[in-house]
Amino acid sequence: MASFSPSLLKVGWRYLISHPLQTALMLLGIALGVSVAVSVDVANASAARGFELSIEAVTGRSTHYVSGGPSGLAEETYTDLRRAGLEVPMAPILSQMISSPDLGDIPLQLLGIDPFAEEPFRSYLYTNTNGGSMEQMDAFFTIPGAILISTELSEQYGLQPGDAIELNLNGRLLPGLIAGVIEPQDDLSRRALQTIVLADISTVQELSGRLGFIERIDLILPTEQEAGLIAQIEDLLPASAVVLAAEGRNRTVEDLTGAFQTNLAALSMLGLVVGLFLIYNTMTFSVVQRRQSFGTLRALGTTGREIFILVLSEALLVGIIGSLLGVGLGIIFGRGAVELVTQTINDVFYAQTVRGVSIPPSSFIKGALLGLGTTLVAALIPAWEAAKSPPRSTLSRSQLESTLGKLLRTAAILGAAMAVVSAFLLIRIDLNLTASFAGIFGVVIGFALTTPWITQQLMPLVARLLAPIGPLGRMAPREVSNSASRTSPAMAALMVAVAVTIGASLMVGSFRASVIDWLGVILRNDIYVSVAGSNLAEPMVAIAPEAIERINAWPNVEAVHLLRLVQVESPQGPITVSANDNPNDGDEQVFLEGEGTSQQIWEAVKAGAMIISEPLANHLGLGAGDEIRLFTQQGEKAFHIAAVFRDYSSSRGNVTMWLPNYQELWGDEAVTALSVKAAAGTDVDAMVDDMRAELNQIQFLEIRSNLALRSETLVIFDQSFLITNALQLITTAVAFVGVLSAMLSLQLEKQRQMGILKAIGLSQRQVWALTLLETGLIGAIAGLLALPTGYAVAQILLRLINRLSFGWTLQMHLQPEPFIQAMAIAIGAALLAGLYPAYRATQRSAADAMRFD
Amino acid sequence: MRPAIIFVVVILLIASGVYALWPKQSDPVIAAQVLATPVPAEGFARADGPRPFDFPTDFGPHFDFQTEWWYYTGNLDTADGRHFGYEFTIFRRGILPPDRAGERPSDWAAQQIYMGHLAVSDVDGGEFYAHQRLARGASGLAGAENAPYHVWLEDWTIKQTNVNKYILFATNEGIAIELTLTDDKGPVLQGDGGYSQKGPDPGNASYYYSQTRLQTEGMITIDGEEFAVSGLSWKDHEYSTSAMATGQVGWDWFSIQIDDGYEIMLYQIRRDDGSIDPFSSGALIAPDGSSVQLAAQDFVIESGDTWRSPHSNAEYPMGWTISIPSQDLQIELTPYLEDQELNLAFIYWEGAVWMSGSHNGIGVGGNGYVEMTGYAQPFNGDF
Repeated sequence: MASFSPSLLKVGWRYLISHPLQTALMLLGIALGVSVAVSVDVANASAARGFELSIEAVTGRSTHYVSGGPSGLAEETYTDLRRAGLEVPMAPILSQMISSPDLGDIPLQLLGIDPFAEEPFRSYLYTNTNGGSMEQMDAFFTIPGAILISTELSEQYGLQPGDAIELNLNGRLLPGLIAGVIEPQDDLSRRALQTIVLADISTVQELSGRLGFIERIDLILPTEQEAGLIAQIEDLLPASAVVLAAEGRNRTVEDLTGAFQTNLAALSMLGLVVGLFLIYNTMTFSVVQRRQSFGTLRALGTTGREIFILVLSEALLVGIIGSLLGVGLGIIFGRGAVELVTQTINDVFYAQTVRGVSIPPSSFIKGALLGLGTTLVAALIPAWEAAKSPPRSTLSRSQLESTLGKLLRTAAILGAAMAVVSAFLLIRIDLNLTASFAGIFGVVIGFALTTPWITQQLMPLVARLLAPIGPLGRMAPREVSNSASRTSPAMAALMVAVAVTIGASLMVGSFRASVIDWLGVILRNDIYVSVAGSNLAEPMVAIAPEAIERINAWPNVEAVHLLRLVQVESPQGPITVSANDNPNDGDEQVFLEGEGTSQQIWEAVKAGAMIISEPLANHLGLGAGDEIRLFTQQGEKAFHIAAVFRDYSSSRGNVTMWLPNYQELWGDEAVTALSVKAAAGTDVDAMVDDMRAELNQIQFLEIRSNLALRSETLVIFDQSFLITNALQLITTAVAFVGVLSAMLSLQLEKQRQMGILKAIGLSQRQVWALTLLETGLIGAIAGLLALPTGYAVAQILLRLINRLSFGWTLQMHLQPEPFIQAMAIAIGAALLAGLYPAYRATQRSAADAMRFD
Repeated sequence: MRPAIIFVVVILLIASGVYALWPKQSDPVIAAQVLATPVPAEGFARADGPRPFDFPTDFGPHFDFQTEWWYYTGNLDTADGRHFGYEFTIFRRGILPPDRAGERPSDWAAQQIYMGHLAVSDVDGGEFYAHQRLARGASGLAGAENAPYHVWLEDWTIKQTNVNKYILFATNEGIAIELTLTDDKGPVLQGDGGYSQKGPDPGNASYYYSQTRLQTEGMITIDGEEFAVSGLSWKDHEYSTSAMATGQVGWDWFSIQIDDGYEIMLYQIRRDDGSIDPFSSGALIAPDGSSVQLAAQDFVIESGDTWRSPHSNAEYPMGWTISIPSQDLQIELTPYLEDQELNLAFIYWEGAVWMSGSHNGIGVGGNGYVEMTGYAQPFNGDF
């Protein structure tokens, strides 16, 4: 192997350019596979960076913070700490979600700060500590409603310093003023400030009506003195306040969005797996087709190793070009995917993230290496095959097919073993999310490997079934069986794509059905009210007391139940508490485990216990009978958990408690949502319209009927699966390219045979029929085999992946649609892929076709 | 396999090149370009003529005026002769005139901004430490009161504890002063009975008195190490609304405690054309507390040397000869350290100096403080 003649590379190059269609399809397959991986990586990286940025923008460099719970900290607490002579950087914060009709009505965080305390924390907000004039800050300090916005927002909405704007706080419009514009120094801070506006803490106190209070005090504690300083600080704090680590605040959300992103990444990998089959398919074919010329080369003294390298070099060339194309495509797709991913994260996890595209160089490198690696791996067997060519001997394909028969059986046995072992591991062992996805891949690829062999076993049976339609009915299955070397990888690829489609659709369908069932149990009232602009699933913005009074006094209102949804601190990080005063809430929950009947459970809750949602129970490893500890206004307190209930509203989860108990323990009278039971016979829609008209003068409220709330919930549900659908579609597209490529190869090879058939009287129509019957059969078999595989995938997704990712379990709701759809996709894609080859077959005259070779 | 390996190597090289050249994320720095609306000085009183002083009330704040400072400097020694200088100043600046008090409901709504400077010159250690704090005069974070006189900025404190006793406390990053000051001489009104004119317009003036010989005892802490010290401090208290006139770029100010019981205060205002402003002035305070006012033409200040700050690149005069012929006074001032530049919200040199010379024909020594502003940047604004 001392010398590998470069002229050999020309052989490979010439082959590739003389088969442009095949080469193009191979490139397309790789490019699509790589592009999906890259685009999801870009989207994930952008979402993660956006999340990180928004955290960074708000948290800054703080290591800890003093929290006073939902009602906040008395402002003197900060003064006391400041004047205590602790040499600890500390900064008071009072923040508030706002929007402004003058700023596009997008949700913004109004961050109330003390500029003099900010520098160690969020120093990028100001640079005028050196040489800056104090006068520049005067407007910021002294003008009521004065805010600072980023240059980007100011340019986008044409706002200048000195302009008056309207600020929507908790559904009320208040006057504000642009006191100044913050000039970000780089793109990242520019993005961080897309969703943050700044004001002096006094301004936020006045706008939000939280006079006398701050939200928290950020601290920077050096690690080595941390414990001592925390003790010192806590000595100075009232019982209601507690020092907490800053990282705990975001960890939960990060875990959850991380799980969501792992799901996407896994799905994106499928594109490559399908691409792997495609490359293998094409390379195999190119090798088979050139056995003669390889034989000639061997006779001329070329070694087997050189042939091996030749084939691998071809693959490498295709791999490089395909990967580069894929990276380019991936960036284009990625830009679209970012929006979808960020939107979903915002909707589902209610995490404030900064929008924007981050394209980490690692995405390209990962994508390119993945594409290249996949291509080389897929080319190994064909290259090895080619290297074995004996000098100048023509192996007929039938010989190849017979050796292939054994190979297919071996593959089937291996595949079955792989599927069984993967399934066993998934069922028996507590795997983490990534390992579980690896398990799914094992099951799917295992099933895929059995596909060719099963197809071969089935074909004689199919031939008998199709016999009644004439000789073509017998020919087509035989052809499929005989050309297994060409068709089986394509079939496996199609099977994988379709199986995943079934699995995902079944999962989403079951999930949707579970949500609908659950909504039916929990939504028992007629009208639901929350503050406009607050999260549908987790409304945490307070409704104005006047509005509540008005609703209470509304004619035909039979009952009003109040809800306070709020984040409280706990030793495990922030926990969402849902406190309501619905005496029948016990009957409006689905309990997964509990101590006694639903009435008994709810009585226990009234007496001070809590019930915990399934996702939270899973995250914290808690169940009925356990205790959960929370920081109340009276210090840390343990609560008995009376039951675990089903909840799909938040994968972060919540604990539900009796509202009067909450109000007593946290000293917080705010109400963030309420439900209304109307008297029998009331026209609810009219009541909703009337309430909207009147209450909106007090505060912008979302007032929805039961039906409207349900349908809006489902709209959000469906939106959050848009990205999943898009990915599935691309995977199917890759599989389609695979089938098309396989059919073309087959067609090319069978030109002579077709010529003979035409010479002995096969009509144009029969040529069409034969070709389409063949491809249709391939599609049908792939689709058929995909049904059980897809079902298995759905089960794993429902039982395992959902629990690991989001903490909830879902029931399988079997519906025929995903299966019918999948069959249609499989057969449709295969038939579509057969059209062009069939057309080409009809175009050549018999003589022309036979002259080939 | 060579071509394959070459391919892979080439790809890796390209990839790592792309990675290396990719723009790195830099730390976000946002320049605040805040709307500059100079506060209407109209709402504030102006120092436009002499008025009676009333102590101890006038030790406290004068919120009618926009700008005010309480300035303490001192030269202190340990029992074994280790020398320290210190400066502890709290500045106040009104951002809303007094007639607009109480317009806003928030306790945090600020009308005053306070800034504190703490500087310690450790002469033997050859080190100069300077720290700054800022806080709003709201929510108890910073403030000033009279009866008793009390000015604070977080835990930094100036407080009267007795008829003629005051405590100073300030600490930051291991540097601290904790001093008790006793005034045996009483306040000295500068200028025309405390009305100190700085420019031709009657409003370009401040009210200004000093306590020029404060017996000082206490503790100085350097990097956590405590030193018991004693010596003399000097206090200046000035308040005004618009002290500097146009064309004035800065000043050189001198406070000198001579060991024969006299003190000198001198300042010369520098103009943008390099000349000395005729409104420069000074005073010689006798041991009994009586004082003689000095006009610009009564004294000559010469500087032989210069020092260029490695921090701000500003060039300062360094080492002075002062003669006041009418008082038979001839002195040399030498800085204890050259680098006593405060590079804070504004940049100025404020440092301990020692003196030698002759007064009434007799050789004298002493200590003092020199302040030089407007060398690193124009100094006609904030405080």
